Amino acid sequence: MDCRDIQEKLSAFIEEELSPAERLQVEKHLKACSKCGLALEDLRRTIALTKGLEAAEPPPWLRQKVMARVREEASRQKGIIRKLFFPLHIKVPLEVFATLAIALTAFYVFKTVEPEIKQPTSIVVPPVDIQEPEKKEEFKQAPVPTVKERPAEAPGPAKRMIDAESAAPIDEKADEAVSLNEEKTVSRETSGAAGFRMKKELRSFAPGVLMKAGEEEKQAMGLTVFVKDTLNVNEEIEKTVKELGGGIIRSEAAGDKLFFTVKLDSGKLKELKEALKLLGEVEEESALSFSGGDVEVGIKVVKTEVRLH
Amino acid sequence: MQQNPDPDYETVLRCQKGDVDAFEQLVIRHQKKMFNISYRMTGDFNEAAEVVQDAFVAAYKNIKGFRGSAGFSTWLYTIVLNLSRNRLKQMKARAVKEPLSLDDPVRTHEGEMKPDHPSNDVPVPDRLERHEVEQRVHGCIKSLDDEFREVVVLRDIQGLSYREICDMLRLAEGTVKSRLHRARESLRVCLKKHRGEL
Repeated sequence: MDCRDIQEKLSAFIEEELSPAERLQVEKHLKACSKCGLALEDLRRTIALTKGLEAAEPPPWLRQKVMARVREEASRQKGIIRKLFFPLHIKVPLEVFATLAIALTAFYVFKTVEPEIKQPTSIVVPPVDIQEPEKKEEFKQAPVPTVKERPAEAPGPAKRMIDAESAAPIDEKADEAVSLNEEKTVSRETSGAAGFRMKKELRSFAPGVLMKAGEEEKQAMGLTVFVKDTLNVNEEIEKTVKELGGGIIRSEAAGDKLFFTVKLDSGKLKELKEALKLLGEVEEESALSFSGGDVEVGIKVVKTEVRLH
Repeated sequence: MQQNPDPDYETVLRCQKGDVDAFEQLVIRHQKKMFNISYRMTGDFNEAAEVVQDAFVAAYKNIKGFRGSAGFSTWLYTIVLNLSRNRLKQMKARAVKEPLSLDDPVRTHEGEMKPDHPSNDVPVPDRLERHEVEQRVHGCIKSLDDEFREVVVLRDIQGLSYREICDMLRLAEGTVKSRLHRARESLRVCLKKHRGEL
């Protein structure tokens, strides 16, 4: 081992970091080499001088400055944490409250609007098959004053004719009453398009032609006869109905119009229609068909000049 | 239950829970060593003070991430060492841009002072000899390459163990020892050149 190798190990030799064998080698060399011995001495002094450096005292304000910055940082971190999380303490209940308020408002609004929403949807319901006997409609008779209910009126056919001026208000009142009754009945007892259709049909028969509710199987149809003169129509209709084995339940006059409610076997309807055609043009306002039994038929007789549609 | 050997363990735990006062205890405990590492690395009192402040603030910000794989002091000294290296680079860059004049004021512990040029006056009194020696050693340390300076500072000035130095510098023990030997040799040459004899 030459001097260069020995001097490489001098630091470790001083710090006693060498293995016993290496240490022995270095010690042996140092005894023989004054140059390396001097290098060792210089190194020891160098280390001693370095280690002997007096530790510099930090400035007295250093701790305060450090802590001032640290506290500033801490409050800034708290600020960030507050921004991120603190609002949650406030916001969560607020958001829950707002959501509940919106939900309740929506519920009450829906409740209020619900009937309006339901009504149009009933149109979508499949129409009731009116031909089915189980699905018969019950209709209340409109409080229309009949001839019998009005004894003051002349009982005779000629006297039944009421002038248009006095009849008009009655018609209007009756029509209103029928409308109200119809609406109530239809909305409660029918549903969907069938109810809607029935209501429309009834309006066309008012005031004299009404379907009557009863225990028996009764259905209705409407016929409008357009005649040139209504003078003998009354007798003609009475006669025809009698011949067909039926009877007039009700008859009344309003201006130039005559209204009859006739009870007749459904099988004779065709014949009735044919007989009425002899009086004038017949228009069937109801498209109902009948399976059998007695039915009520509304006949409206209208003077051609006052044909209204 | 085995107690953690790190004397700072309990205090660090309190800091991690947000106790700022506990951090102040760590500042009191470590500021001197932190300051001296930085001062010997940068060779500048004021720069060292600034570096130490930055190092403590950085440590506070990251204390929750400290897992204790090494000692807290080792972790803290690594921060100040790294920041000192960065500051040193900035200082060197600044020195290149603004070359110093011999008449420029010198920054010292007490502030700035005008350079005292050699004169033919009476020799330096004995009481100042020690101070002169220190200044010379300080100057020689400052003249070392960064990688040599840091091992001398950590081992010979701060007295850290090889284990700690290896952890801080992320170097093998052999490399540290080798660097240290070269650093000491450079110092010896530097001191002998200026003093004639050691």
